[in-house]
Amino acid sequence: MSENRFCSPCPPLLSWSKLNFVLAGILLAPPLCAQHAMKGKKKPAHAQPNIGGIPLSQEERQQEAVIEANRKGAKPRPIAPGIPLSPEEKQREAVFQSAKQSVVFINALPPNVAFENPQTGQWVLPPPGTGSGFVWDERGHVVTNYHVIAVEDQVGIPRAEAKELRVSLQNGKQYQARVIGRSIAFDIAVLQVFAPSAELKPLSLGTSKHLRVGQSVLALGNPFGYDHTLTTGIISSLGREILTAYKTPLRDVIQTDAAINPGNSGGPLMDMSGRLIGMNAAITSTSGSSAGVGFAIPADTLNRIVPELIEKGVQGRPEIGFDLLPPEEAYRLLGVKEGLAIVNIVPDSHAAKAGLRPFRFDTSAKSGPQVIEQGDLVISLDGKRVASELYLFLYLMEMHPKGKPFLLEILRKGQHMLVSIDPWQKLNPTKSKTPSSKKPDNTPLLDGAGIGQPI
Amino acid sequence: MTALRLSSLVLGSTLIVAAPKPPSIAKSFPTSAAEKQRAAVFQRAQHAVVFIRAALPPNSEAAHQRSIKTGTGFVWDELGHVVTNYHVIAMDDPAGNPWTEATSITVTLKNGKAYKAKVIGRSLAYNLAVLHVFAPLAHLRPLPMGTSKTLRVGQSVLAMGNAFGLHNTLTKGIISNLGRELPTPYQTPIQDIIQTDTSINPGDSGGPLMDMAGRLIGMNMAIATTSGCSAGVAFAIPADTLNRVVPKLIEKQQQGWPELGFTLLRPSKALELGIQEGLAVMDVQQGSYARKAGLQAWRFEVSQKGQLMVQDEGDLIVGLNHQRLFNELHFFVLMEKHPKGQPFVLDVLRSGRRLQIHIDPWRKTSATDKSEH
Repeated sequence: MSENRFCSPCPPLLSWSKLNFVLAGILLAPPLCAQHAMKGKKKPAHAQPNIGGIPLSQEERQQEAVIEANRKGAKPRPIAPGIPLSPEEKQREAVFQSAKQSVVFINALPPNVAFENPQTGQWVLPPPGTGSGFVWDERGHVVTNYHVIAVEDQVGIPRAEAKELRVSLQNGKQYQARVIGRSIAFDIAVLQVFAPSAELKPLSLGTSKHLRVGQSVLALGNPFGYDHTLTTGIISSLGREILTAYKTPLRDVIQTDAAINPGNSGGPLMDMSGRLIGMNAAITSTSGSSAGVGFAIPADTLNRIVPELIEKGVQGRPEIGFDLLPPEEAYRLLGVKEGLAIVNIVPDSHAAKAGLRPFRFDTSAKSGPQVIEQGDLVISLDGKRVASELYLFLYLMEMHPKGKPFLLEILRKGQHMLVSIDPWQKLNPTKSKTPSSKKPDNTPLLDGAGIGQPI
Repeated sequence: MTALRLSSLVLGSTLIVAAPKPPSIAKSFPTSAAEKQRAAVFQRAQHAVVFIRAALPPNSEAAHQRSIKTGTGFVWDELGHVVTNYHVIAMDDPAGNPWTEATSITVTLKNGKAYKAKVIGRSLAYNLAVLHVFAPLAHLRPLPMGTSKTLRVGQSVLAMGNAFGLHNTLTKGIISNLGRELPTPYQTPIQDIIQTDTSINPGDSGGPLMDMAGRLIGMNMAIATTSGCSAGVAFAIPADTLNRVVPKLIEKQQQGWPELGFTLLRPSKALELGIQEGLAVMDVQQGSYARKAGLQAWRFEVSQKGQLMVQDEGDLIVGLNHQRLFNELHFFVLMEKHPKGQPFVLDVLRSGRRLQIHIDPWRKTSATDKSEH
């Protein structure tokens, strides 16, 4: 249908539609018709003579003729022969195909908490967080960075955790998840994903011990929300010490020039065999996006900390032995506006030995749990007020120097008391003084295990 | 310099008097297979990759806009066609959207010479422009064509362009993912986008993405970043899309809608003639759908001094498919997005009155119903 338009053999007779390319700037539009060129000859006489009034160089006429001639018969170009993929390319493809089933996209919906910006005095709601994670084992444990699922205030202290965690798998399916272990000091969080185990393939584990500077590495993650992005680079340096998002030092950090961007946090760094050698955790950049300087927590550190987090929920200190009621529950059930309510004391624990007292509830009533015994409220830790902030308390617990006793300020029946607990001291299996260690009565008690935060 | 100073120091301290010798060059490993491959790709591709500079006349009505843009393009065939992104040759409005096509385009080749070029085909929906460059054909060597069908994540790729205006910059990376969907600056989605971790920077737009055989597998179009510079997350239009759309653009100037049978007067010229609102219809062709639908063309005269003067007032298109048009590129985008099989509904201003004109190019006999309102 375009043959009609082709009219370069008749250079003196230029139609209006040809003019739009000849007279630069007069007309722009592509002709919306096929037949205009030939039909142009039949144009009313006024159209043609007027063209003569506009200077039209010979060169421009020739150009126009060339353009029209070269339009004719345009076809898709034939595909030139390629070359087979190199062994390295094949290796990368194999790593991607296998590892993509282990890498997840984490969507963290923040709770409705607002933080005041100390500089501006404005209250801001934290934005939803996104990050990467990877499947650790067959039981549905996913490892990521703590900062992916935590909400920090303006000075960088974690003050809350995501209200809801959604984990998207490579097959496009989305599942709920919960934080079951956290190490703020190492910026590691372990999630339990409620997905069929058949859909969760653990990433093969490597070691960071034998890494070499210059070695090729691959990173897989969700930069800027683009899921399962594979980037490549080398190990730029080893044995670095960097600070986490929470200003805690991380040792033996792997530095890489693979592109790591916002959203890559918590994703795996792999060797060319597709084995986990690190978890991408931070970058150095002036812009906030990759400048070719990325940092990963070494696999050997992960392999030491993560099992502890899976088993105990925390790492770095012995269990103290009580549970804390989440503040919103404490407010609902107890009307507590300040302080964290202790709800369960593990018998023969450090907490029991120190004489802490839990709130006790009767859960048999239809109207909901009723308080039957008042307990202790934690007001401050090591002299720092926690108010009703559970995650601030957890943060302070982690920041507490090892080997030193914890100093808890508690409110018991309106009276402030100081309790010192030293979990590094050996426990003598002596008889405890606390009510919780009494022979359990028949009252169904609110068990802290399901609802409280074990400390 | 440093080496010289160093050697003289050594000479001074040991008091050996001898003519200064240049330091001997250390032995090197042979270049690797991949290095050789990259060098070969560069050698060939440098003749295909061009530097594009697009501008508006300095005193145009859009003078407040950014009036110069630069980018990359590549030689498509042996006939002088160069392919680039449409946003390379369209000027940004104050909001940063490329809504005004450049009137002056030059293409600089590897030999450093700049040649004039004209836009001969455009698809805003695919963010594609085809230029015709008036350079000696011997200087224009197209890239070997590849296909995006057989690409693999992890495959090595090479990009070439004019990052920050640095001509013929070669960068390497891998395919990070495939099959993404990405919107153009005209809010139209492009499918099967190739993502790479190659360094793509301002000025690289419109440049080729190549496999290790140097074949065209995509055209670099956009990056994700917070800094404006490469963050290792770049996107390219796949070669198969290019190879489908570009020939249509070469042949018919546009793709995506049947030919209706009229042209539009350039708005800048319309403004000179005192036309404030709407796109002036020109050259309604006999026997065309537009003619059958009753669209009326403007007629112009050129005065002795070469000025354009209105002879007959025709129709001004102010809306398409019930959407108000804000300029002619907006009209093109809506035309490209128009669903196939549906009639085009033009809102037309004729002698101050509003009309609706239905044009149905998918019907054997075009509709001629006009309704006034």
